[in-house]
Amino acid sequence: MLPLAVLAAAALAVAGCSSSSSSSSASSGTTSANSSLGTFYFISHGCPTDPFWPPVWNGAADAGKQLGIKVDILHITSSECGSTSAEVSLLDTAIAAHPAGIATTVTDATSFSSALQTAAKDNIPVVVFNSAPTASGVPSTANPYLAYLGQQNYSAGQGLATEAASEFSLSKGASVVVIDHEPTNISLTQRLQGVKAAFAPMGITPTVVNTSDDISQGSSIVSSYLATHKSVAAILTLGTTGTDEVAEAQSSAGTHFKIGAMDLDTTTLSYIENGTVTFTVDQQPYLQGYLSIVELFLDATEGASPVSISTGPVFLTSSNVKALAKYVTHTGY
Amino acid sequence: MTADQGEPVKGATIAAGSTAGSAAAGPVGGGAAGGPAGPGPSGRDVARTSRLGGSQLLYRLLRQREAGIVLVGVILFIVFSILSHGNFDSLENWGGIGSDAAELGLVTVGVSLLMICGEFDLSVGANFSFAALVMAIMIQDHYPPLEALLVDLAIGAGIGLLNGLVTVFLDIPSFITTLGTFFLWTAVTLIVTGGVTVTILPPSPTLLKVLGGSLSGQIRTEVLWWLGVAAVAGIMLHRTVTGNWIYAVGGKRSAAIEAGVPVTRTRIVAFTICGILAAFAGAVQLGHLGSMSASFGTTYQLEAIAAAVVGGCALMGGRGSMLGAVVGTIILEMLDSGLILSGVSPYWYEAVVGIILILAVAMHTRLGRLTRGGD
Amino acid sequence: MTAPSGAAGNRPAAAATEAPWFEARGVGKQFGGVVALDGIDVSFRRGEIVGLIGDNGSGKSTFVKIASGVYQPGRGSIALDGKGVRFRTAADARQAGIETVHQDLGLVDTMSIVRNFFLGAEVRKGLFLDMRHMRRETVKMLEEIGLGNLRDLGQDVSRLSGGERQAISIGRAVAFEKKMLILDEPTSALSIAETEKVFEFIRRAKERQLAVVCVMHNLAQVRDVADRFVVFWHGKKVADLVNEGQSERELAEYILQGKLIEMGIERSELDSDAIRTLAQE
Repeated sequence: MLPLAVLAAAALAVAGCSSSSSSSSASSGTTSANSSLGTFYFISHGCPTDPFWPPVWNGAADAGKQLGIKVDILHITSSECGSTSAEVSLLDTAIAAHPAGIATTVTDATSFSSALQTAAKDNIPVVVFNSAPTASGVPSTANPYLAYLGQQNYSAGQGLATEAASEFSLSKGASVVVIDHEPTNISLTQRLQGVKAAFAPMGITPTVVNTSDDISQGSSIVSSYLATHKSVAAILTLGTTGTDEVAEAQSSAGTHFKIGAMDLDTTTLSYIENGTVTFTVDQQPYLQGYLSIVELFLDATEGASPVSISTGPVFLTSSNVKALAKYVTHTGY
Repeated sequence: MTADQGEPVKGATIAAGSTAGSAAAGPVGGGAAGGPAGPGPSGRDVARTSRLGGSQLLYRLLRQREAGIVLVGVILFIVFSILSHGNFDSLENWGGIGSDAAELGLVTVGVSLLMICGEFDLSVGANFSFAALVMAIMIQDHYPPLEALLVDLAIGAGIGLLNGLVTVFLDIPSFITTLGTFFLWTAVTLIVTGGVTVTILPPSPTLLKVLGGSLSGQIRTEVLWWLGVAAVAGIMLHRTVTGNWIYAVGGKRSAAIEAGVPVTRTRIVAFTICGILAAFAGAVQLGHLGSMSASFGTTYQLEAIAAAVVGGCALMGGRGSMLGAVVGTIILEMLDSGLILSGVSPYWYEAVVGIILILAVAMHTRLGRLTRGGD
Repeated sequence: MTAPSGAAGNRPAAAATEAPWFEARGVGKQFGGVVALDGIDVSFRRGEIVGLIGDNGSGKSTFVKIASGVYQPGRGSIALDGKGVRFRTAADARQAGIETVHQDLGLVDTMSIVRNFFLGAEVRKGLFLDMRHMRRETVKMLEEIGLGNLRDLGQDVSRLSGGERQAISIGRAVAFEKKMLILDEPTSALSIAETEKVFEFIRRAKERQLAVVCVMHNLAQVRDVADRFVVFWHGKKVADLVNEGQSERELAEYILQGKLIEMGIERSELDSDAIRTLAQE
């Protein structure tokens, strides 16, 4: 009834007041003067359950704390995973808040155009990280923004293929399987294109197996594949979810095919340490989060134009991964 | 027979309590010129208003089923405006809310209508993506956009029709049927499209601009489509024979059967309409975003049910309105941006939606006992 | 009509149409393994009131649902005015002129009086419902059944008392009645005065040359109003007798006759106490 509604509204008001004051106190690291800059919004399409993303969010949060600015990290809810319009809606809302700056991912070539154009018109500085509307990451009139921080997915894919070819001594006609765990994800598609392009002159045509964001579902798909295809030269994955799925499938199937992975999280790290996975191609997601905020900050305070930064690929194998261990836990992988 | 033969004066309610005056003499009930508001005396009969006076009109408006939830919406609006230091009520923000609301709203109109008829459709999300993907692929392949839109709507109608036929003729609860068809169409989408995102690069065809382009600044045409469709659906529900049948079939199917209402036909029509609207919503989103993929529609089935219920549709059927569907959608969308602009952590969003959902249903149940329903 | 022999007074009116209007021949209906009706042969004349009586589970309500088009007969046929008909839905029966008050009243609780009243018989003006006309007619009907003080037509039917709802359900059938009126337990929620009003309607319907079928378990009431009794037992018709002033007990005996036959006992062997005991089983 009405009293209940009023109660609910009051509860919201209290929640709102308390959390806005708490987030500003969380970000008051060094200079409190910097909180006068306003809010910086950090928007991503990352599913809360995807282990790839916490380092990105931690990077942004750490940058905010160290610079003493207010960073609001927005991401879509777990029930909205995969919905681009949910992320666009976050972007629209952030723009309506007239913020100091926005860092966002862009997962296809047209869905964000209108919002990006509005932000440009309103003179809100926008940088894009992790996923860009085009493979090159270069902005355009349709999709205007200041800089792209991330990995060139296409070249990362190429790197995956060439590294796999050398590590696993792949020869012409070798049977290579690539696991695509999110066929609708443009970043993965770009990586896959890179893989295929790099393999082509070697005379290798990889087989693509589409799985899913759901690890148990995905690993059973991989298991069924492995059960019917006995001679596999190498299995390549396009991300941590895919890596988890393949590792699980391998352990239940009892096979020992060589795995080359992409991206890094604690599970992938442990797989490299115990030899399940030979190497991984890391895009340094922590840097994507961290540097995006730093660039927006410098733009707001010093007028320094953000520049595009290639945060990867970096190849991680058992030889250099130990040195990473400390870095990995700190950045919250 | 005259009234003085010891008639059932007990309970011969002249409307609850203090508004006895509004009953007045003569044939009662609201005016014939009702709007798309749901069953409920439409306080828009001008002749009556002038006789009754303004305050009586206010009473009647307040006692509409939707009054409660509209009030909740207004309260939320005020709360968010304050907490967001004015950002919430900016035109920009409402432009954004409007377009998200339009996409969810179109699906909600269909889901609400079907819920009033006593059925569920959990396949709307898969319908949304599949129909819009086919439309996107056709446009990419240079088919006339209008044709592509018609195919989208036809797919929606087909999916809805199938849901209806299976539910009615195999006598399976619609919840189960549509859960099954949800999985079916999700799989078909992936098979047909290979899971890629289909993008229509600018310049986008005029039709897409008409469906989801911007009217001025952040205000988009989608909002007009949504409100227009809701109005038409509302008029159909409240002012036509089919609408009366939909309420009856959902309210008490046995009574509808006994009265000779064509129950089977009515149910199947309701399923089909719901399917068409879900597909249309997908087309509108395609117009807005320019891209479509299998995952774009995933959230809609549960969100649309939540919006319908918040807006006053009874889960059991027989109650609800298009006005409620619109208000419920707006409230859910308001929560989304309102929480962000108020600086509340986005992790709270789902918790708040859950709380509002429960409170809204409790409110509708309680208020329902006090307010009049019917017509 | 309280004098026992007053039933004889009904007969001249009943003789007005001798040929039956509604004829059921060999009508049977099964639900799964349960036989609800087992070959019913019964006919109803215009201008005659038939009291359909029988114990619980005798198939009266099933018969009502078949006659009103809600169920389709598993076997057998129905003829109206000598012509065979098949009711695919209740709409067909209503169109043929048969109006029914079902035991559950057939009202949608979440809808208003007006919408319930015109359910299945909505009046259109162009594409839309003619609400003004429907409201007017509803008010008229309410006044006729003595609910004229129910001013708030907009309220849900669920907010009315049991008696009011029953009155509305009956009034609806009476308002739309054309050739035949079937009432299944129409007085269960009514007071004595209200029941008398229902009988008024029934008698008036008869005067208007409708065939009236009244299912009632209150034997005192049914013998007051019926011209003829039809007795069901376990899905079969076991008696079809003109109302000659039979007492309640006699009627009870007919109802139980089927049971007695099953038990192989002659009616004359039992005294009234034994019959009363059996009646209670």
